[in-house]
Amino acid sequence: MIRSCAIVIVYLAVFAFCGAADAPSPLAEPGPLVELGGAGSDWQPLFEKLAAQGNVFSHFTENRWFPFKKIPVVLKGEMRLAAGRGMSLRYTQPEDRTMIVDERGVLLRDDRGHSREVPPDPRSGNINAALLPVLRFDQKELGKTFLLHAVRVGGAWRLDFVPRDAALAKIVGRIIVWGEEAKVQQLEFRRSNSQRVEIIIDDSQAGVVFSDADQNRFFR
Amino acid sequence: MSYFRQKWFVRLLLAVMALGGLAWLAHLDYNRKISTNVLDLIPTDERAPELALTRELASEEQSRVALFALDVRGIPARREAAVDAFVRTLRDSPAFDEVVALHDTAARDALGKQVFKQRLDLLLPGWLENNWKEYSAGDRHEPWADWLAERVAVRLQEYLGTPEALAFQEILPADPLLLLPKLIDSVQGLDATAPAQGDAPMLIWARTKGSPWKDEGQGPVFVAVRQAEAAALAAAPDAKLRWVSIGRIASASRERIEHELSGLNLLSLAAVMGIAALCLRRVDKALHLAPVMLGGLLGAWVATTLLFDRVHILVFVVGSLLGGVAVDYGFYLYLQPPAFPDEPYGAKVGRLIKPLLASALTTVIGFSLLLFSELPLIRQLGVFVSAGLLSALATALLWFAQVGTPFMQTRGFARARFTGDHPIVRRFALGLLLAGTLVALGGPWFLHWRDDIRELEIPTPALQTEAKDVRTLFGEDAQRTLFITRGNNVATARASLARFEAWHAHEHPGETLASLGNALPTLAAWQAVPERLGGFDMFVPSLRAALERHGFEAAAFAPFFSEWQTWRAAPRPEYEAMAGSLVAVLRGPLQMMASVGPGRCWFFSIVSHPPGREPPADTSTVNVSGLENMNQLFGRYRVSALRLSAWGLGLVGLSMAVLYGVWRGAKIFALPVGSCLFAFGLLGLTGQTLNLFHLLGAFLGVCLSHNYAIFTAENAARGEESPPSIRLSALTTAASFGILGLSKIPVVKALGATVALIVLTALVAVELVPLARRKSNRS
Repeated sequence: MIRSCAIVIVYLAVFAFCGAADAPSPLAEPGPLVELGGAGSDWQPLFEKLAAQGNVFSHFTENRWFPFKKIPVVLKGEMRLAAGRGMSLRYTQPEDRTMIVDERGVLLRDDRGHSREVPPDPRSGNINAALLPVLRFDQKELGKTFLLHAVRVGGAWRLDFVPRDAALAKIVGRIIVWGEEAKVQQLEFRRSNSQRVEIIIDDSQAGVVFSDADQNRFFR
Repeated sequence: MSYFRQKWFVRLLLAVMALGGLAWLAHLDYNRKISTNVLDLIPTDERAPELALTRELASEEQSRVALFALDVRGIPARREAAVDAFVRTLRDSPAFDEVVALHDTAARDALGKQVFKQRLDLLLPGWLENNWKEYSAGDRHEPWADWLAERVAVRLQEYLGTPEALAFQEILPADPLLLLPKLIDSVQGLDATAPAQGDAPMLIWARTKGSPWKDEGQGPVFVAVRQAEAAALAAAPDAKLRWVSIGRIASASRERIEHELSGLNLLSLAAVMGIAALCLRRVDKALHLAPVMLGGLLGAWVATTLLFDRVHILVFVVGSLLGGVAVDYGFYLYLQPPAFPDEPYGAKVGRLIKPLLASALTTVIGFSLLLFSELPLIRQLGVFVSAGLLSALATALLWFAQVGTPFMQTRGFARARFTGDHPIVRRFALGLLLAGTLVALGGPWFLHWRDDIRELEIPTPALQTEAKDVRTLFGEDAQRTLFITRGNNVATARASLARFEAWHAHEHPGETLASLGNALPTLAAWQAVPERLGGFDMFVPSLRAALERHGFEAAAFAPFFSEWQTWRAAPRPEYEAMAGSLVAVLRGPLQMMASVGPGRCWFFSIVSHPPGREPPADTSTVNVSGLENMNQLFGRYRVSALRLSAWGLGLVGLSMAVLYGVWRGAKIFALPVGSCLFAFGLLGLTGQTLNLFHLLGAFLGVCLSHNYAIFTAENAARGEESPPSIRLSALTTAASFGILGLSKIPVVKALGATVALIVLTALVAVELVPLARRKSNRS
């Protein structure tokens, strides 16, 4: 089961590609099915812009909804996305913990610097391989794993990634990304209305340079 | 008895002895009698029970594991087809007990279901005990049930803020006490289940039916693997198999050892006969020495196989040197000229029997002491050498009794002596002796000792590289260490594991320890449950209230409340039975993680750091990563062998004092001891690392060079030069042991080189001493 944990943890990493946003404006319903990576697609320019952001640093607020809890559990933290090194999420509330998601898998690091690797789950294949393309907005790879529903209202847009594989779908549910122009504003991992994780991007900086100390502390 | 009748009687006796010996050897079942298992070198009644268990485990359980990595490129369906074909073929083979593809999660799921089903029996006692300690340490103003209910709600709230919580959200309504999530933390890393990622090799774990040390665990396994590989190739022609099993390595090692055994024996015999032929006046007469060697070897084989149920093959490899030693008695009898023309053989034997017996019996006494060694290999070697030498002496005495002329002259160069008396020669000889003395006194201080069990086998680099690659794919990592904790029953094993965990947490703070034993409560915690739950009726309403207070929907936890009531109403299982039902569901690699059988209970633990200090004895836990514990064991046996050798040498020295008087005995004894110290000194100065087999070689070398000292002293007492037999003996011994130096088995090489060095040193000393003292003798 700890492996299943890894899968869910990785989803949180998806907001790595988020750009700065003033306020989330979620669109209520998913859009029609869109072919991923299709030449001349209307969505091609958006994917290209999101993919070209480079290193990103954001603050975020995470709301976890459980079916047995009346109110969500709220977490806050910092996200770092470094090209070639993956994603690092540092939770600052309720406790200091860092989660690193990269090609090698998922690593949890506590405030004393002790690391613990979360092994992958055999039942769902390589979850990192499935989700890292989402971090990178890699259309070609995304197309192998997900179906895309997309809708746009003015500058605002909503992308729904639906796993093709049933086992992955059971664990991940649907990944929904809201944004405006080239900025991601909110993410949601939705298994049902009462079981979901909302991630709201509070602010974001693209093209940042991480110091060596930060790279050692927040990546592996 | 007339000479003619005496001759034929002796021949008959020799024939009967030879036929009896050969008949005995012919009826033996060599597959059963001769072992190539390195673990057979360790005593079955090894005094440390953890090591005995480790040996048993390694021999019976772990050694049967075969690991396979199947590389198949291409689409997943093709990969799966190849792996399915491979696994199906192995499963169909009677050579395998169990075959599991690691991407198959069935075994892990079965364990998960069982733990979940038994979680209140298995995990609640420890959870209650920990909470009780915390509660007892506080002011206890709140009732126990209310305090605990509040703690549950608070911890659940905290837990939901961790990354892991999302993975467990489905089971939390049935497990708000967080029994399972906490257990997962403490068993993480035990499961080798691996996803089938991209083009990464597909991993298959299997357990063979037969022991890998025996034929049934080798031949049929190899056939099954070949068939399975063919099945995989039929599904995916580019499939590539890499695999490792103890049986595969043991088979390759056995093949190479057997090859060495025949090769070294033949080479040794040829070298000895070659030197004899070179130094004797008539080459054909040198053949009279062959029966002495063969008689010695035959006697050694018969005695060893008679006395020991199972003999390690290394004894025979090392025993191949016996030819070079056994021929000595032939030399001493055959090359000794008659005291007068037509001296009867009986008179000649009567003249030589004292030094012959002195040299043979002192060596035998020395080697007989090895029978008290703890190590079976050393005991077997002691018998092999002792019996071989006695047989060689008996054969020599009998053989030359039926030879017409029991004397053969050596060629001139073999008995040539330097007759001049030049100061330069004397100074040179003195200089060499002085230098040798300095080396003997100073060099041994630079010696380094280290024993490595891997040196007992012939390395098979290609197989070992493949094995390392495959094991790495299966998660073997130098940064992790495997421990085994044992006990006579579940309760003692679990209690020891608890002590080991406490020691580990103190010794390696922050490092994780994963063990399936954590899924079981200690007996103390298990027995305390009725007391902890006494007056606990208010717990359910208290918990409902606490959950509501902390923002939970108490009704959502109905599965837990329902199970709680059922569990409280049901009779409790027996402690041992509960452990048994958990372990019974273990399959595949997980099966190796725990055992709760009568008299053989153990838990494996994996820790997240390289090996460090050994755990204390009261934890009944030993490190089983790699071969370190075996190496330590061999190091201990070396100390034991050193003690025995010292006693043996003491006895040899004492027998010299008894036979030749204190002063003369001491002079005789100085030669072998000095030669040995010189050899060790030389090895120390050249930076060699020595092991148990260097020590054994030294002991053998001392006993052999001791013979030269005796014969030199005997001749000196009669005012004669050292007999040529010493030269021939030393040269043949050095040749036969030098040939052992060609062995690919590191320890055999060590033994051969040590003996050759000591006997050559002794020979040089025997030659130099008269040169060095010539002038002073005259003056």
